[in-house]
Amino acid sequence: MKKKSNCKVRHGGGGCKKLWLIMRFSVVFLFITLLTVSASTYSQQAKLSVKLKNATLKEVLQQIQNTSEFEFFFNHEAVDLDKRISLSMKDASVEQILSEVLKTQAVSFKVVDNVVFLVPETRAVQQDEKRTITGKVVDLTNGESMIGVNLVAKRGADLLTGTATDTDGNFDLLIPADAEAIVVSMIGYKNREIPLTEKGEYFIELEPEMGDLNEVVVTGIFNKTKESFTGTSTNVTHDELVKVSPTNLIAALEVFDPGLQLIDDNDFGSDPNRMPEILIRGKANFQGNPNTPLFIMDGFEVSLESVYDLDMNRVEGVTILKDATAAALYGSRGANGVIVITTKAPESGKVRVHYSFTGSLEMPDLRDYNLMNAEEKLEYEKLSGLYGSSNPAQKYELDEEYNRKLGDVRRGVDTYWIGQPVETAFNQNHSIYIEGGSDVNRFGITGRVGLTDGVMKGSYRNRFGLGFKYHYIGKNGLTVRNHLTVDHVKSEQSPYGSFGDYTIPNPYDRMKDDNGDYLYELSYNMTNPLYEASLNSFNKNWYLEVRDNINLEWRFNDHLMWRASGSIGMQVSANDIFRDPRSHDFDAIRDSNEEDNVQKIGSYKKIDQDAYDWEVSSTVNYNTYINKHLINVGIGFNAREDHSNMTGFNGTGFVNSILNRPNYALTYQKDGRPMGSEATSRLIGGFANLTYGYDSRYYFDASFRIDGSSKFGKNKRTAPFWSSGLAWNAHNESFLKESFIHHLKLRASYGVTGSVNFSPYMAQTMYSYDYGSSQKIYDDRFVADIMALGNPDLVWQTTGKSNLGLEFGFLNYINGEVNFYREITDDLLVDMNIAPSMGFSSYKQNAGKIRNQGYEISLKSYLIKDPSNRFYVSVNGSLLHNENEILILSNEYKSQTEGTSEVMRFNEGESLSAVKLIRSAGIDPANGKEIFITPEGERTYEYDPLDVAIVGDSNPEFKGIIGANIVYKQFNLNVNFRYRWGAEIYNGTVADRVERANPRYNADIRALEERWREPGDVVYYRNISDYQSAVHASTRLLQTEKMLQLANLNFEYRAKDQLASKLGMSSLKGSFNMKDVFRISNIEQERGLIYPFSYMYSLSLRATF
Amino acid sequence: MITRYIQWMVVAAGLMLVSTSCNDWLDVTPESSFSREEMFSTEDGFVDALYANYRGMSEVTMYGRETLWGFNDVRAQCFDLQDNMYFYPVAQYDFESSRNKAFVATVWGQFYNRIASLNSLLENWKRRMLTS
Repeated sequence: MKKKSNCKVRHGGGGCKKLWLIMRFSVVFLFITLLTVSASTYSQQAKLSVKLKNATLKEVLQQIQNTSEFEFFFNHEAVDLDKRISLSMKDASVEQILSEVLKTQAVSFKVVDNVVFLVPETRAVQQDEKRTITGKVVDLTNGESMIGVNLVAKRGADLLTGTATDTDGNFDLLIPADAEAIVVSMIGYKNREIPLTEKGEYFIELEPEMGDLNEVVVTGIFNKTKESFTGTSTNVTHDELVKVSPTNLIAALEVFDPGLQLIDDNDFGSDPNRMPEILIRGKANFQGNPNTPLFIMDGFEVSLESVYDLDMNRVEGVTILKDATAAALYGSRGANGVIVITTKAPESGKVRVHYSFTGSLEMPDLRDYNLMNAEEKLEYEKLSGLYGSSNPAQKYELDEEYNRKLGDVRRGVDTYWIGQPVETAFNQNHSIYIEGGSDVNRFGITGRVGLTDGVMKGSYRNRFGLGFKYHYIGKNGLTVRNHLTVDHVKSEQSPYGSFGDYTIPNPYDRMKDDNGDYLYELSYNMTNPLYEASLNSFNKNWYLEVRDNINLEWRFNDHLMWRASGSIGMQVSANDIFRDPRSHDFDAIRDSNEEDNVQKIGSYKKIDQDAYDWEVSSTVNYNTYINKHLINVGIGFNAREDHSNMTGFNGTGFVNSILNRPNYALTYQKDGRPMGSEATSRLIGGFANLTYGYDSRYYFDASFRIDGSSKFGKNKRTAPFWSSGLAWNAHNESFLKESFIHHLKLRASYGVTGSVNFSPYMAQTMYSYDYGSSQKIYDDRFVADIMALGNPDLVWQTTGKSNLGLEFGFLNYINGEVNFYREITDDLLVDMNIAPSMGFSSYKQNAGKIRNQGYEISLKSYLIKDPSNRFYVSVNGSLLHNENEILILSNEYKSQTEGTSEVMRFNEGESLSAVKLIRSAGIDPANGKEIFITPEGERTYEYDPLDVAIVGDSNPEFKGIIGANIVYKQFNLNVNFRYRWGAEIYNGTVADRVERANPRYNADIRALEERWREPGDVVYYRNISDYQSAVHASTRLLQTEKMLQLANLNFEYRAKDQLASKLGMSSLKGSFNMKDVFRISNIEQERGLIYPFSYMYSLSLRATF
Repeated sequence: MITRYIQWMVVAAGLMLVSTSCNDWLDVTPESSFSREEMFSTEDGFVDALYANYRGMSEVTMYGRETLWGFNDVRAQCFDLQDNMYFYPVAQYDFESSRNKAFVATVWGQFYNRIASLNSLLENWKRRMLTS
């Protein structure tokens, strides 16, 4: 519902030409009009003659209008126009005539210029006795000022005059002196009646209506009121999002929903070119398939990449749908949850320009790395026996080498290798949004430049976007919306390569030789990663995406609505990888001294992709409300197609690195062929939804969908999905109406959704010309071979989701929600090994069932709520506990994995994230060897893989967010911590970087300081001289994680309106944001081995002109 | 006016839906790969699928090496092998060694793979003969 704008009407001279200015607006409207017109005596002396018999008042007024300059202005409800009168007057003034005709009605009149106002008598204004009251209206829950709130002064039961608040929530109202109170009202809020006092200034807080009447759950298909929704959803607004992360939408979402997890990528850290991995509730896949949720933007499916590159300033709000209630409408795509994004719709009015800037300093977080310095490293080498030898001649050489290195160390060579490839990056994002238009035709233009430099030198992801929105909102019930967006993203990987390469070089090695050139090789024949970085190699990507969405909405009447929408998107992208001919990559070729070497050194790989997708959908929705019964029925269908096409080639032989375009390649890669691939998938589905509600207390909801997809076998082309739910709004029951419980809702739902996570052609036995051996030609014929055994019986992986939820709120101070859920995923896809005599080693099969169950809790409580000073303090917390269990595995799966190592296979009754290790008694102080414990409890040095047992679960016991929000006057402080507790994690990096650390390479300081050296050492890590034997995965390196991290700290200042308007703006906000600045964990492990993690400080400005 | 447009659009959309069968529309095959039916619908396709077997048999894992002079001749002790060489466990008749097992699995796997491919060929060829 659109907020009512400030209701002021001006009458210019002759602005109203017609007689019947019958106002269908509220009485308030009339009074404002009266007050804004100044009295004068225009043409009041005109004499009129009227002669009518048994005419209606309407006819009388009509005649006056026709024979004079007068126009009438009144509320048609206040005047009885059909009242019949007889009248005969000659040369009378208009006042005389009107007093005569209106004498039987309780209506008085007033003549201003040539306009006659008819006013119900009891409400007549006493012009002389008036006073002005001023004030401000704010939302009780958050202190935000409220725009467009209606205020009406009243006396007894009579409404006198009114106004509405302006964009800053302020109002001033001229009221008759005898007014007794003002009524403050706003849709979605409780009405308030404020008695008028002597004082002229008022501060009014409005309390939102119970049951969140105004809150809507945007499902992307049929929107529901929050009150009638039987499922679990989390709604987040734009303002809330930017407080957490001003530029990264996906990172921000984690704070608002305990069920949504962002998986820490321990390898790729904060790589801006790495897509984040998202998981809603629990994992349900055997073979590494990510459980990425479905993203819907403005009603259409979009890719994770599009969301990742989306400008936050375009987002109006996000809804996260976790259980089956709404997800069932997405059928085969809904099993992993649905994230619905709504972009801002242009508002009418004069043209407004919103500008937003975010500048951030992003710093590499190398605090997890405790590497040895030059001196320590040399000592470590000595202790590990690198310079020991029984051969005197060799010993002499080794001593010489040691002394040379020691000399370097003494001279002060101590290269900080890991500091070389990283830098503090400055990122900036500028975004502009222009909107305006009439109530009928509105437009919005967005523009955006986002430059993100990663913390690895030379890596970046630059985003450019333009968008145009046009909305036609017809008075006849037709709405047309068209959104056109063009996005361009350019990115490059760091030429410095993998960060891990910088953790290995020895600190006593110099980077450059005496001439200032990077050394080609370091000690122990290690390549110098900085030499590689100094070359002209590159790995670049770009894409251009154009998308148009059109949406037609036709409201036939208050009950029936039809909507049709279409979307088409095209994407072109390219990847260019150039390897400098001087690179170490070509060492082997250079050494071979073959004749055609020059044609093999240096390479250029180019891959071009183009893709398109389209989708059409249509829905019809009918709703009605009769005698407390609410019925809402919707049906619809959608169809979509995704198509992508790739071609590429490899060129080799580059004479130098400056000629680094593909056309300077001397030839194609030897024995290489151009690359190409193509993929198409299609989906069609029909769906229906029914919601029934009784008296805002009981709700029932059911959805059904049938989906067909090209990804499935011919034998199983379609699949049905459904859900149903119940909700009870206990706070609407009479026995709770006036109690301290302001919100209490109980709901339950169950449904079946699906997920398609295999490639389009696995269901069919396919022949391919581009498969298998590199030799594809036989006897001058291109051959076509069977790719894999198709499984025509492959079916959708389905997930049955049940959810039981309780929402509660007390005294308007505490709000919370608890959800218990159980999700059973059936027909999990597994690569089944089959007998070799079948001709193939494996094929895809549906083989298993996994259960995820757990609970989510979220709470928010106000500690201080002082609206008059605009001072609020609130705390919030959330928690997720998830348990995972494999329920059923097919007999084929069990028999095929029999006898294989326990570590490699899954068993019924286990968790997917079970940690399987051998028990360890620690390091023997006598000899520095590890002691293992057999299942029988015996101690042994021997490692037997069959002794492996489940010793823990890498899934945390609890995880969630703890945060606080403080609002004081113009300031807002928001802080959130992320915590994880109880995950049992095998610290693999310790095994690799401490115990198996090759003493020729640099390693964690613990490799030197905390290892066994001599009998009697009671230490955690094994013998310092043993680096060659394998480190067996044992409970010794198993740790129970306790982690706390500052997710964000945001400090916001909103300029006072006077200040903003002085600067020529209508609003101005500035904020400072810190992200991931602080982290404590009891597990010391090197994180971000390919790309380091980072922390960030940002400054944002948001202004509206 | 607009109402008229919408009516036409509904009619057009309806016609589109009726005229295209859902199942056909969902039957997507990749452009560089072919279903069995498509593959054997032409003589060229048949020959290409047949030649895949000649190609396969000429690979090193089959008659290209292992079953001609590689794996077999090693076992016949035709080569002098040192203990760090790839074939060494095979020459030692160390049947339990993982390398020997891998050889056996690959060679037999390849033969069975050819048989599967030829079976598919024959099956489809027969079907075509019957229908034409």
